Amino acid sequence: MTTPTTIPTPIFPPLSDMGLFPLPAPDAWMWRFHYTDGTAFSEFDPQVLDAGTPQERLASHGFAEVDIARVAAIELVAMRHGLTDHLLLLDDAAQERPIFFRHTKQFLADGVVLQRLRVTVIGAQRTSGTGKRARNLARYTAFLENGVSISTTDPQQIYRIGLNYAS
Amino acid sequence: MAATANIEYFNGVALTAANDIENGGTKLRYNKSDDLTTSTTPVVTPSSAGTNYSFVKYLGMYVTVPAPTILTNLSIALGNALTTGFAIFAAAIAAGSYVQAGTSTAVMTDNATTDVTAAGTPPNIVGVGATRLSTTPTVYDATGGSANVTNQLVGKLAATVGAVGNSYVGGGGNVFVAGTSNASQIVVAYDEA
Repeated sequence: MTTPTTIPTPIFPPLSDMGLFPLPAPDAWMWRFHYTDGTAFSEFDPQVLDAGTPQERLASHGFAEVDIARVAAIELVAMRHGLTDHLLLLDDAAQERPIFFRHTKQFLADGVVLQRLRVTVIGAQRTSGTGKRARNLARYTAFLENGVSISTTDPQQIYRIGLNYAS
Repeated sequence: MAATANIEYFNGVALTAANDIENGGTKLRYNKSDDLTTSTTPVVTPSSAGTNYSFVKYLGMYVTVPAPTILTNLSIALGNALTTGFAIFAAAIAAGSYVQAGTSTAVMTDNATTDVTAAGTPPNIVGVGATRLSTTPTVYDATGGSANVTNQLVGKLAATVGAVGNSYVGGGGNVFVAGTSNASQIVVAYDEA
């Protein structure tokens, strides 16, 4: 007897399934920064998500608008089926500062774009030591849109994702 | 939300976004004319020691759907190694320094003595020392620019040139039309936040 394969209905479906965004969702994850006072700042405005037009819902904020000094945690909210949310807590004692960016690659072969690859990266950076011994240290976690994640302290490992190396 | 930014080819007397080489548009072709369509001006393989260059092909990130973000670390690389005898070079050119391919400082002078080898000296492109592309990304513009624009170039241009040397196994005098599988993959990338 074969066991039927069923996909469980998620309790909290991605925002794209709630009719709030045109399909497919524009990004795999939406960022949300949680501040030390308990408030949160989301890439998309919650009030607009509830009452706005589709165009207004797509209006978003940029990382430059985030109050870096007040961030306590970085959340990635899944926007597509099969992806999960992620949360990164910053070390307040170490005075960690948030890192966020999306890294996008476009592959041209035979003169046309064959493939795009986008990696969503969150992380934290801090200064270790003082004076001449001060060093900037950072940790990154990169999330591919197939669900794979990579944690590293070397950003070059993120930039090498998707590239073919001979050795 | 991330902006929609595509790799675009620029040409013309004035800097102009030409064909959208993404989404099945015109293929990126390293020929000896200021367009992507002319197949009658190929880069010819040298019949003796030397390197022949294509016209400059300007590439850049072109935003069509804006977002309140900034594109940084614009880079270009090869997806895999090129066939022996081929090379692609790139130099970062500010939009304000654009010179139409085949004119003035954008004229590429063929090298009649030195094959395009890994140890060779890269040419100057529009007066700027170029970098031979490899599988390691070359950041041609770390600063980039705002993506909150529509139908505009963001950051600098990657001025690229295709080159074929006598070491190309196709033999001397054969026609070299880059933009086919010989040219391998070109990978452009950027960060956005």
